Amino acid sequence: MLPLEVFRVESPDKTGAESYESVIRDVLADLELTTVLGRLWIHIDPTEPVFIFCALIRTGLPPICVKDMADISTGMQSAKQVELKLTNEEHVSTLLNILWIEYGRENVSQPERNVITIDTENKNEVAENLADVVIADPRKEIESRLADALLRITPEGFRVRHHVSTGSEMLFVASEDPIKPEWIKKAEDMMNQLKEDL
Amino acid sequence: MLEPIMYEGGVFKHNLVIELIEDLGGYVLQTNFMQTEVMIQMLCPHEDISMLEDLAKELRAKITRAPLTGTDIIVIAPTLAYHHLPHHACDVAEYMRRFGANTTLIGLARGVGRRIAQISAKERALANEHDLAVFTLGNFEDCMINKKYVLYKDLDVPCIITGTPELQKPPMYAKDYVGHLGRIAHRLKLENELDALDRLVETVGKTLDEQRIEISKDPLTTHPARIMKEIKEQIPEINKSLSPAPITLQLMGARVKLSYPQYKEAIENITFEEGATLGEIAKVLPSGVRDYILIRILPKSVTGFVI
Repeated sequence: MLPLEVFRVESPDKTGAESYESVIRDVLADLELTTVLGRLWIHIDPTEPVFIFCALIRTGLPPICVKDMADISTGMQSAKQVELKLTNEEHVSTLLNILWIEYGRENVSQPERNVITIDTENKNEVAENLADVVIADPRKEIESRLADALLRITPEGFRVRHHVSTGSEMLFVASEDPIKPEWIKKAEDMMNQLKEDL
Repeated sequence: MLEPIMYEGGVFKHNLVIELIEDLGGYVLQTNFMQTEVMIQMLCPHEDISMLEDLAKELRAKITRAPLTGTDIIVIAPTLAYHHLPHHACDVAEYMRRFGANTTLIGLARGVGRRIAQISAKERALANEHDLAVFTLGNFEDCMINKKYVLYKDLDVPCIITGTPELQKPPMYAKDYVGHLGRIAHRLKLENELDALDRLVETVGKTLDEQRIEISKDPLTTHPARIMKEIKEQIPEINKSLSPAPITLQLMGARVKLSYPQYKEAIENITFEEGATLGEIAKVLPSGVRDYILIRILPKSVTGFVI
């Protein structure tokens, strides 16, 4: 799926829809979401009043684990510590925070810029467990940005909301009146059409 | 007749301009320093503009007519959320400032939506304190025509509405309407957006001129700029105010940024050369903005004289 390969903004009010499209483009660009969304279909009918947002999210980056950013070794047989040789410094502060919470500040030290050591009795077990600890999850961050974008795009007065969100799709219906079942039905139909030819 | 003028030039020798205006019987309304630049808003007698032009030429400064000078305009957005700010509501307010208006920007507490949109009595009173209200609304024609009028239908001041669609005639209760200025989430800098802003300024100027003509049928006892001059001379505390415009001129009076309970009497006791006091020729009221003072000058038909 290419970034924004489908971008449809529909409304009975043509001028309104065109202008809304520009608002959506600005919001997505501001929040750096243009490459995150694959297909987007928005329907707005102010007379109903209803706002429907259907989007397919492109599968993004996998979560970053300790093993992705450091080489883990147990050093010499006699040493009672695990050594992390950093290969990527981007998330070091988060890594340190996690290590401090897990193993205590007194047991974690950073003798060199690229080296972190953890003092421990059972170093093999620690080294094994540590490898798969998630340090940063770009997907989660994208989800929160996406939620932010939705709130910015939705007309402000439409405060009654219904949403269904899975990892790869997002369906959102908003109105200022109670949500009618036919709106949700319409949104689901739109989502099914979006998913065709995938 | 006094002509509203804006002077933009260097700080060097700008006091000559101020002196000239005072000698000619005009008024300096506001002086803003921006590092080495200065922007002066003033009212200059129509027949003496050529003298001012000559001096500006000598000082390599620019002089422009600023039709909105000496007016107090309120820009009202449905709320203070990022749906409306900083673009486009702030851009609208800022653009009108360039033409000399003093603009206030507010967001309503519950101005959003269609059925649920409303304006409170306090917000209405605040809007009525100004010369004109500009409502920055959104994209959809149906909302604009059938729903949003509840926000401005009970206002006494003329209301100008901005929105995306091009309407044949202004919505109900609105004085005028400017299209292509609806919800925009980027800074207004494209050609059509600047055109729309220019049209807005033109519409606002036209509406204010109509109001001026209406006022001139029963002229005010004195010009608001004269009140400003007297306050500056007789109440020195005003010079300690940190606000860029301690006295905001309006078509029918002024808003003074001093505490109402503290300075009401001092303001009422201001005496003019002709012998009248301000209390006799104007109403001194509490303003809705903080605890400021609002002055409403009485017309000739009430006081029986003009000074």
